Amino acid sequence: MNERRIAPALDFRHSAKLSIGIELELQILSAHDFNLVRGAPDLLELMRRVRHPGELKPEMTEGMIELNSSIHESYRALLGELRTTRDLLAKQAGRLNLAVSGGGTHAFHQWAEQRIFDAPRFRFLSDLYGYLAKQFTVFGQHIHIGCPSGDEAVHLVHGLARYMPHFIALSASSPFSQGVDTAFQSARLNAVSAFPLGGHMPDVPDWEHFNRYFAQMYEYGIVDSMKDFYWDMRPKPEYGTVEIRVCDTPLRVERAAQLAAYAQTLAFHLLHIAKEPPPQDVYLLYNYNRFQACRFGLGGNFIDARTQEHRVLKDDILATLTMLHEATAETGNEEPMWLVREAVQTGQSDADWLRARYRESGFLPDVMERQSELWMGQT
Amino acid sequence: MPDLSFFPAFPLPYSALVVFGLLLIAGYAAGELFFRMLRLPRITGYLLAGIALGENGFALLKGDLFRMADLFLNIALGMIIFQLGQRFSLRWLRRNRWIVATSLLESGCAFAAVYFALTWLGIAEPPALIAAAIAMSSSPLIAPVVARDLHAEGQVTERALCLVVLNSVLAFLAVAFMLSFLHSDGVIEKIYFRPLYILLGSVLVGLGLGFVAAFLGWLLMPREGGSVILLVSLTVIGIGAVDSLRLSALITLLVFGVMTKNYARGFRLATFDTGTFGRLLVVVLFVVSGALLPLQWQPQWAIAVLAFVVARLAAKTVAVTALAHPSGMSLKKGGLLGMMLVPLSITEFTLVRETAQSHPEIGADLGSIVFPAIVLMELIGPVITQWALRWAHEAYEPVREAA
Repeated sequence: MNERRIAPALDFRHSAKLSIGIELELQILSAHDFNLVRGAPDLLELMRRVRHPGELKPEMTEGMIELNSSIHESYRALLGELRTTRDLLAKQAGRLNLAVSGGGTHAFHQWAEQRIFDAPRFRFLSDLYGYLAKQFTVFGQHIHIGCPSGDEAVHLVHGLARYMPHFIALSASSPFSQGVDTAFQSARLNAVSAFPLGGHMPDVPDWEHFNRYFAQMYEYGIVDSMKDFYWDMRPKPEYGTVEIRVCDTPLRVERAAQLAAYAQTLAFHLLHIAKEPPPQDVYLLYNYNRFQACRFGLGGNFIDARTQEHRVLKDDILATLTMLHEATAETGNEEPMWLVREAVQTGQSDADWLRARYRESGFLPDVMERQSELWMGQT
Repeated sequence: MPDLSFFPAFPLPYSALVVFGLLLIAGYAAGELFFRMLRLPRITGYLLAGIALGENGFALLKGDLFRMADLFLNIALGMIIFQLGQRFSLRWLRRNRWIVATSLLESGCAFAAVYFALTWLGIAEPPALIAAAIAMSSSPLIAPVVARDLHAEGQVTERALCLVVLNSVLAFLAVAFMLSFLHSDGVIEKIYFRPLYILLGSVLVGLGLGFVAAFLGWLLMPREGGSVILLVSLTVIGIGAVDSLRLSALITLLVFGVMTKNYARGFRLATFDTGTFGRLLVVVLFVVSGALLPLQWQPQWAIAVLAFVVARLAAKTVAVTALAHPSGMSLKKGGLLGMMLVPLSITEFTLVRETAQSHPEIGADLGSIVFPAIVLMELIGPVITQWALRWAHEAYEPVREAA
């Protein structure tokens, strides 16, 4: 038996309550055939020359970069920053014959052809996860919401669990994978689900219990840090935030900012307005609701843990938007919430948009081209 | 005694087909040996196999076989040039004009450097001018083939494929222009007429092929490799037509490639992967190129050959590096991109041969300088190319098997 590992205590860093920030994983495409291309080093090198807000980071594969926004109090500031960075990225990518695109998956990239590079981290993941490591070339949006304390973070994660399908359906933009229509609105999450430490946070009541759970997992040698949990939503103590990780990267930064505003408004509601604790059965229904949202998007079936009522997910989002009127006013998020309502009412999701483009041309590289033009604001 | 006259007479008659098959096996084997054992480019193996089997070696490649190989050679050349055309993006050049500037500067510098070096060494004006024009060009075959072999991706790869197209066209026109110039007796119309005929004629034939491809695509809706059959056919027709019309196959097929990429539905990505057939063509192309390499050289020209090689290499590398930063890449990658432009190959031979046919008096001196330089650059060019792509981290380095 090895020496007993002693878990480090997790310090929850204080951050401004309900501040928002997002991370977007973006696709780097060749402007020639619109397949993923290892363009990240060249693009990042060029972006280092220009001043831009936020941060751009390399990712596991060189066909991907991560755009991290700064921390913002308001939707408007976040949106402004995202547009600025987006325009700069589009311009610099154009100089390199590259295109940048949103969307949760690449429509026709073959994971079997995904080239794993001979770097230690790649090797480790490739050895451990086999084909899952290659299949993990998917693109998500992470939303961070600032929390002053660990207890509030745990409370918020439980509260948000009921609304997890909303985030999936509102961001779903991965109908195609490996060159075929998957029938899913978000095929990306299927790739995420296969990992052993995915799913949801355990049902712990507060930060102290959370720490105890983490210490146990650490002592068993299952995890080394919070990074090893791939949960849909998790506290992020080193940032002092709650992180929502179920979203596909939307096709446009505007939608990405709206999703952040939706999360901020919900968080305000859960921390300040809602009095009752989260319903008991929320985790019992979790996987069912999650699957429905991935497969059918806004048209999926949703079961409310509190009322046991079945309804169409679209209607639940509209009802939630109405319920959030007070939080919306308090956070100043009238505009993004109205835009979300409009998108839900017309029933137009990013996944539907992509399928419509495919019906027009019948050629997936054309779809990827349109998808990248949409993200770069060139349509 | 039964009648045995149905047995063939010995020794067996020479069969071009048998020898051709053997050549392919030898080329393929040498390529794999080089690539797997020595980590050198496959095409260097093909070339060396060709040299060994050609007239400078065992002299197996001759007569009938050359005529047969010539067909494959033309298809292979045509397909590679066509694919370069498909990749060539005018939109990119509009978004990054520094690439056009880089092309003009590197070709211009190579021309000037070689011209001054050769005249300084006392080479006569006419061959020095033509040699300088040829020095502008880079092999349009080696960069794409080596890059594909290494699954290379990135700016050095992408720009090399663009710059070899531009400078090959510039060099071709420059040679045509210089030849007219040397025979113009100062009459301006005479200088422009032939280059203009070649340029416009080639573009028109290329456009024509593109329209035919678009029409056939609409009519036949080719699927599952059908478009490759049509493209090969059209490419062969194009090469034949260009030969009769005395136009440039290079420009014609480039234009054809650009056209199909942008306007012919169903063909857009048709030859991105010609697969096994494409690889076969590459083997034939370089084995035959190797067999054709004129290895004889005259020691008294050694200094001139060296001057040609060094001046051209220095000019291209310095020019590309100088514009690396404004064109949006690091100095290191700029230097490596310059190295990617070093290889020369069979397409440049054509320029020399053409000159020698129409101007025998220039041809002799020109051949003495340029042929050895091309041979040298064809042999070490692929190695330099591979090295540049690896150093730029653009070649794919697979995960080593765990020990």
